[in-house]
Amino acid sequence: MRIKVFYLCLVYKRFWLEVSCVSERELRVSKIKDGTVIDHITGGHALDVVKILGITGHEKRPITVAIHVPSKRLKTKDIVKIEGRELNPQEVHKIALLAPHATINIIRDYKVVKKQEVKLPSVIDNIIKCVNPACISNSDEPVRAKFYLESEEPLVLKCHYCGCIIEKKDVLEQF
Amino acid sequence: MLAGVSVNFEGRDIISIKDFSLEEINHILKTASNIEPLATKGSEMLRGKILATLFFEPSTRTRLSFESAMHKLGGSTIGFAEAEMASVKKGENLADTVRTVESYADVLAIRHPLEGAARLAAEFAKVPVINAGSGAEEHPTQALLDLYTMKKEKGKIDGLKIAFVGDLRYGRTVHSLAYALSLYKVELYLVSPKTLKMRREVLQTIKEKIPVVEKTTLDKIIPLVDVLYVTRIQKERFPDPAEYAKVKGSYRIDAQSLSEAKKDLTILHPLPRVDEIAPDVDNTPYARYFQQVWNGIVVRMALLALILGARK
Ligand SMILES: Nc1ncnc2c1ncn2[C@@H]1O[C@H](COP(=O)(O)OP(=O)(O)OP(=O)(O)O)[C@@H](O)[C@H]1O
Ligand SMILES: [Mg+2]
Ligand SMILES: [Zn+2]
Repeated sequence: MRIKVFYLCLVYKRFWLEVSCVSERELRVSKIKDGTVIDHITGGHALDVVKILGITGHEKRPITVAIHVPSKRLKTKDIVKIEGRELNPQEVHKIALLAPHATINIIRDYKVVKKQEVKLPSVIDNIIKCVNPACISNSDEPVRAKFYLESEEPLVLKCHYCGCIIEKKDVLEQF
Repeated sequence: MLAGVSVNFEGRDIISIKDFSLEEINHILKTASNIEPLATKGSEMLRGKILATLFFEPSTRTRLSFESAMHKLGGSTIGFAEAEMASVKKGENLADTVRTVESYADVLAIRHPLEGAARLAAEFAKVPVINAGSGAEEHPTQALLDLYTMKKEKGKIDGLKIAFVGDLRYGRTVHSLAYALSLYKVELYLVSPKTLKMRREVLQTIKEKIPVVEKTTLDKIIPLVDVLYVTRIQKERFPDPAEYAKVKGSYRIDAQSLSEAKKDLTILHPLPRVDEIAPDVDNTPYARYFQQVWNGIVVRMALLALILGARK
């Protein structure tokens, strides 16, 4: 029995890798040696995450993007794997705005050495701009835009200065 | 005079009505009521204190009201109005202006065209800041004087049926007032053209607390309500002048349209009015908008006394 479960797990893992990173049978994406795996991205937002990270495709490093793969936790999820790069806190917060359930896995020497669930802080400072053109934070003042997290999903942020409400679509337009 | 103060306002900023609890608002209204006789008699309560009025946008009435309130309490005022801005500003930002002017004054009253300007000013100023209107957003002292007027006219605010009429989208006074009223047990009727409806974020918040009915015509509303709060509909809000003319006419209040009003209806208006209230209403007992102006001074006296920590 124990052996059977173990076997099933193996099969499952294998299947998993296939769907997420491999075009069936023919091509096999190799594991990352050192880098980052952003897992459990809200289905459909992998390309936004890629954009947030400023990845253009001209980098000389392997990047794997999987979109709408089945997930146990979420209905479907996206995954982004980047060789040779670790994220700074600012980038992690940006990802959290679009994918509040994402997990950031740091890979070193092929192994997951650190796993971090993204978390949106209750005050979001200096990551996005206010959408209200009449907001004082968009004028020539020595301040940075600041928002209060009203709701994570759907995303609702409130401007500290003008009180205006910002949603996911407004955030996406800025990245 | 200010005894029985359970809520401490000394040094506090007055930025948004949303920063205040019901208890605090009631305390301000009570203080205003206590201080009202001094608006006639005068007082030396704030002798030696200076109010700076920084008006980056024209509003003679609000500025005069603040200055008059300060003088009636024995204090003095300095400041500038939009006309003098060219020389005052010279491209300086608000943060720097505030950090300069605070050396000259004990309290600042600020009116600015951008939203959130008063909050920003308060972050930079060491002295308390009063928002005298910023952007299309909020005008907390107007809301407080409106509440004070309702309370004075009706004895209490709880239980009132109140209609707002006119531009509920861009009219900055109605946003603050709606928030404030939602702390009481009132019924609110919002009468406006479709394009000038109350902003969504305001509606969401107040609907959780009080019954709100939205209407596009005044039909059958007047006989229902205790307070009719009329605001100006500005021509600039309408791309089509014909549409403006039509809308304007349908919200106009005259003596005739009040034939079925409750005997003790109170009509308020933040002023200036253009022609949304006909002159023939002025002589009816309903018209209380000029008393509102007086009450504005009284409420601003109370606020200045409270935040400057005046003791009799
Ligand atoms: N060296 C690697 N190269 C590429 N992807 C990797 C590598 N190591 C792990 N991953 C991927 O990183 C993610 C996290 O790996 P882990 O082994 O922690 O999976 P898990 O136990 O399912 O984690 P979780 O509980 O976060 O879902 C998975 O999507 C996995 O496929
Ligand atoms: Mg997993
Ligand atoms: Zn803003």
